[in-house]
Amino acid sequence: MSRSSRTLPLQRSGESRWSLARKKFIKWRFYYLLITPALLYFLIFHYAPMAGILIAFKDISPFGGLQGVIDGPWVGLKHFTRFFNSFFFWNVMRNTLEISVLKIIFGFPAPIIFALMLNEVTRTVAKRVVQTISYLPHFISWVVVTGLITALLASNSGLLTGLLNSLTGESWSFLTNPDHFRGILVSSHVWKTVGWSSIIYLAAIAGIDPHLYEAAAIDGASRLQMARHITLPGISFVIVILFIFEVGHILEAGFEQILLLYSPAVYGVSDILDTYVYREGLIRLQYSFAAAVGLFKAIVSLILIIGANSLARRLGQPGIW
Amino acid sequence: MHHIRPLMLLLTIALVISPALAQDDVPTIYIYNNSGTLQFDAGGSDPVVLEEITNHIIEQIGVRPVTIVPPGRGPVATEKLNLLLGSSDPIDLFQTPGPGYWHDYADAIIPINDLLQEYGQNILQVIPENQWAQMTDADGNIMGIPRSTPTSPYITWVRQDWLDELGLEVPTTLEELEATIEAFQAHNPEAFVATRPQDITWSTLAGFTPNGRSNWLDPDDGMVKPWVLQPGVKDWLTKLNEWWNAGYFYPETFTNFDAPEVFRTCNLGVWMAWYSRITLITPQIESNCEGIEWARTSIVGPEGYIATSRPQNASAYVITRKAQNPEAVMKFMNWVYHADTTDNQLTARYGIKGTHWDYQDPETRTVEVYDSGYVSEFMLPNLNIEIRYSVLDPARAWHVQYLGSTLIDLSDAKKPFDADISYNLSLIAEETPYLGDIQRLMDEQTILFITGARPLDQFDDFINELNMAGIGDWVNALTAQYNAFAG
Repeated sequence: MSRSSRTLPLQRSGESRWSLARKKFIKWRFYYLLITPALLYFLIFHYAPMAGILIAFKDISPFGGLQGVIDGPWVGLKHFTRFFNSFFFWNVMRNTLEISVLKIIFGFPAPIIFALMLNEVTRTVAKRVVQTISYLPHFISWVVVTGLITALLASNSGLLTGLLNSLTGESWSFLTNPDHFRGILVSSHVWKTVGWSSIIYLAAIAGIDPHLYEAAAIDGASRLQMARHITLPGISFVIVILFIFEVGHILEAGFEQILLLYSPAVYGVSDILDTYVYREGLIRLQYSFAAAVGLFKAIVSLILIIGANSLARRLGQPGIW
Repeated sequence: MHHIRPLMLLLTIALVISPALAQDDVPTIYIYNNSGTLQFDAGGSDPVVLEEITNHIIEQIGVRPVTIVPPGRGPVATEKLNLLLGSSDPIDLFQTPGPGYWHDYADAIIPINDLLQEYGQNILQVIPENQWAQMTDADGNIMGIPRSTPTSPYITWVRQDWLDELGLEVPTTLEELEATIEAFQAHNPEAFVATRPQDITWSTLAGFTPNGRSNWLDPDDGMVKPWVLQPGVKDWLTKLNEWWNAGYFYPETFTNFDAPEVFRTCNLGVWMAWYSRITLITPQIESNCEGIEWARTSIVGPEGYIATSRPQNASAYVITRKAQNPEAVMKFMNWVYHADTTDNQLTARYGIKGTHWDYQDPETRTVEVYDSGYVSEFMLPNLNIEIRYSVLDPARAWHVQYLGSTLIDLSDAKKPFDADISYNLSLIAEETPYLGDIQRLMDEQTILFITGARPLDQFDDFINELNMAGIGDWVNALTAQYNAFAG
């Protein structure tokens, strides 16, 4: 075959690639149409606002609108430096990480265990009742949950503290006690999320081939052995993926929950990045500072997600990409 | 029939368009009423009554006021305000919240000198001349209408009915107060003292320090310093720690507790915080707490009166830069603050005269209020006008009477050292980059010392921490502005 004869099909393929793409587009047009709203959503609400990170490097007038952002002078890393040099930087970082890690330690396995236990319930009605009741806290806002916590744990009028006071003869105080405060945060978080988070594990369990259980039963495996050797490995990929996502949110330790519950008496163990930014950035009108801390959080989260994902792949799990 | 159809169509269009056209003649103003008036009534008024009152105001001044109700108090209300100002939503008038008051919002508001001259003569008559200094910037621009006046809201209150029952006198010293609390708790083991984290310095510190809850001039170096660096602060913390250990305080007193709930226990024996919880909540709980009565005290400690009076601050009603009709906003405010009659402010407070309220005695301006379903959306309070009437409404009578008499009596509280200085609080914040950290340290650590969570022998470490957090910048900024003012 001559050189010229070889180039001709390439030229044709160049032309035909365009027409092929066109044909493909026309062929799958309805699928493209279906995906368009989601793409637009991400573009408009997630990618376009990223331009806002500019203000982390500027001093802006809080009410100057877009013109204020454009006209604001560049200040480099001033707001980042200010954050890192803050007296409370390490306190806030430590609180954020410790509360998050505690929530992962207690909150991450809880729905897995709950799903495994629920999977063993054979009575359909009982299973559905338990499932429905366990989902309910998810639909209660943190404002209401913190109201319930206060009703339970308030020193004088709380149900639980009242009971403890009368049983022990001592005056119990939970919400002002730094030793108890994180326990309240973690336990209320687990209570609120365990049911709803178990749905995805239950769905993954439902996808496991029932023949595996039948074969194991014939081999004489107990329920516990089946759960350990069939169910858990069967949902391990979901566990890994959700764990990676969880790690990515490690700098979000529960803003709304903490904001509604904390007070100066427990700042030392509860002031997290988000509450710090709320006070310093949003209430004191320092939007550039808030943006700088937000960008810092995003970068740390990205690094953590990449790290967790590559660790998962090294351990032979699929990862998220 | 064919001729009728186009006519019907035209008639329908005219009917739809005409109200809109008619409304265009009446400028609408949007008031974000974060003045505190709506803090117990965020649900809003009966819409029909509200519309009636709105129409009444339109008839009076040709301005349609629309109120935006804040979602809550404190930071929540401020967050919503900031979002409104930063968005394209309308907002024409609001009250500037702390810590920086109008200084923090200088970019979002307009000077009102000309508007005041042209449309605000009532306001100028009603508000004393010395209250405008806090509203004025370095160039002479008046940035808002004063919201606050010098008051004494942090006086200690003691249960008079319990004193009578026990045959005790109203305490006048800290020792007597301690003896009273002991007697209360011996009489009722559930009795307690309550204050609030944000109020405790105002209500007690002055008894142990030369200047109370105030900046002070350190004679050693000539610098103006925040209250926390005063001599006597450690003594104050020691005393309150003793009280905490003795079980005087309500255990949740340093959380964000719900004041009405605390009052409803009927076990509150001593209140050392913001006065209006007493004057407003007590009438609501009288049926549950039989015979409840309060005595206002004038207690002194080793350094004099224990309460610090509250100076006028830079809190202001301001007109936003994006207001479409600033003249209409000023007309509305001028109508509420009428110099010759209380009718308008009472309309803003209670509704239409003759329907929702009326003068029981026009001479003394004693007002009878009827049930209306209106929760005062248009009321923008200011002590200068609130002291001009009294009400028969048992729920508010005491409060209104207190506003006009005792609240403005500053004789038994320490006046802050720099009460007359109009600091530029935004500039101070700018020159003190870690002001938020310092304030958190002060709020947090004082409570930890009081509750014993931090031993008092670490007080000097606390002062070192304040220095490390940058309190020196704050001292420099305060001193520079004080010296500029004092010449």
